[in-house]
Amino acid sequence: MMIDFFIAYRPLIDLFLLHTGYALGQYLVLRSGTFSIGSAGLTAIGAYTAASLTVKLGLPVPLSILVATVASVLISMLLAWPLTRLRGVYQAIATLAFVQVVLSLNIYAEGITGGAMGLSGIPKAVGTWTLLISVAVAIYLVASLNNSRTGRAFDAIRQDEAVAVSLGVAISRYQLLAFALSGALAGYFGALEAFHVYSLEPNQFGFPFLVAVLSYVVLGGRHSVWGPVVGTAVLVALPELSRPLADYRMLVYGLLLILVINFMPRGIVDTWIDFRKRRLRVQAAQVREKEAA
Amino acid sequence: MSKALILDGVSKNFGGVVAAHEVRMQVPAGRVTGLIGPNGAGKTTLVNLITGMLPLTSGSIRFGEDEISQLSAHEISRAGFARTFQNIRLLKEATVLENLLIGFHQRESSSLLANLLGLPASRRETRRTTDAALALLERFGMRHFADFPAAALAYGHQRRVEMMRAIASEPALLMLDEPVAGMNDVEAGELGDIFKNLSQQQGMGILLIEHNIRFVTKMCEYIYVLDGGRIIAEGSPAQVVSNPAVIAAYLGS
Repeated sequence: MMIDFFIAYRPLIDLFLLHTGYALGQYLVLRSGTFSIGSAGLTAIGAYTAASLTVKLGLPVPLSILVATVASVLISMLLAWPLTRLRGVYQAIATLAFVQVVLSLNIYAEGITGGAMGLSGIPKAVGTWTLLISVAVAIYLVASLNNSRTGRAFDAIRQDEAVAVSLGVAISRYQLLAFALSGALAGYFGALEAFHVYSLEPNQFGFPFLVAVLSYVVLGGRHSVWGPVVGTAVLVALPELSRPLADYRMLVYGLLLILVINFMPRGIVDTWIDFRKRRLRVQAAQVREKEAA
Repeated sequence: MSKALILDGVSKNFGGVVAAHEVRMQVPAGRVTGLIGPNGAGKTTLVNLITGMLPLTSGSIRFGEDEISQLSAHEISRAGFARTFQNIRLLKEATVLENLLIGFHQRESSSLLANLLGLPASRRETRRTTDAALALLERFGMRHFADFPAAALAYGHQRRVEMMRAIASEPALLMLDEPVAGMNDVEAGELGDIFKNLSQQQGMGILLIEHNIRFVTKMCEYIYVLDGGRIIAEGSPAQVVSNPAVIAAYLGS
């Protein structure tokens, strides 16, 4: 029974795992108070770098993945340099431009990326287990970070930069760090995707991809590490649960986002955690009152 | 802890507007020094200059022997400065406890690798910081508010949380920007006792910026009066309140 489920839904599970990795990368920059939507570009860089190193130069797969991840980290840090001087919607616009540049390169740098034809004949070296372990490790790392001085600094910066700086938080250093880690996740999972799907095509990591990844985080929540995981699960499963919806995927995403932003601005997971905390507080207050009486 | 903050000829122009002109001030350790002046006198600008939020046009700001006016804002904080804000600034999505945790940031030192891998050093640090924050809440009688969302607290309590967050790092110099605004005399008196305690028992230097003249004259041994970006009077509370220039600035001539 369990095995049947696993076999039938394996492509969906793989998709969920890959996209959870992307969502975590997007989550990290948002958490540090940077409105960057450039992770789609970094994912493309990771995927193309890894694929071309193996297909064209014959590098072993693990080495290609490593180089692709490092390349994404470096480019992400380069991107951070101008971006941490911008704020809010200007960051979004600048990173959107970055994604467009990467997409154009995918098409015009034919020698490396295969141009409009894309890259094919990529060895399939990544399966469900690799993805599962990768996601588990990524969740562990992000959760550890959240529960440390670095995570607390991210939270303070996101909520009020003036307060953060007045308490000695070096804002640009932490945002550079968030970009580096986000680049690592985007590039690494991009490379995994390359070795998972046989071929890459230039528009794979375009605007619809970017909106999807952003939606995972907005829907799931931006505080708890489980926010992006749950958001991805819901949005990946949704078109499968109701087949007719699949054709209108972007429409459904758009509607869901509007609803969530208006009625559940903290996302599914964080809203639920808040609700639980409030109940516990009420219970604690009742206990105190009883003791007093 | 016995260093004094010294402002020497500090000036700041915004285009043609002079927000601070040749300001000379001293805030010694272990005392509460007052800074008063009518609305728009440039009091908050002065705090922003001291904390590095704004660059100086000219002049020098020293802490003990060290020139600090060239440091960036977070470095100045690390040199031992902390402040509260005129319009309370708490982290609104965070609980009271989480608001205090960030106050300890500069006391924490675990490495990024330890943070990322969740090594014992990082976990221990988080536990230590949480214990310290809870102890601070206990000391100010707010332990049972720890898990409350900061934004849900009453005004007076929000002020307290902001102040606790500022003193969490045990700064050598604390700048309070209208800490008792909107409070009644009883609440103001309670906070006043805390400030006195911090300066006298812990040797903290405190710069108190206030509108409430009664409160300032009760708290401070030495008061500066700012108007139009200039120090127009300074001295003991008695000297300052009887100074004709001060009366003119407050009541209009």
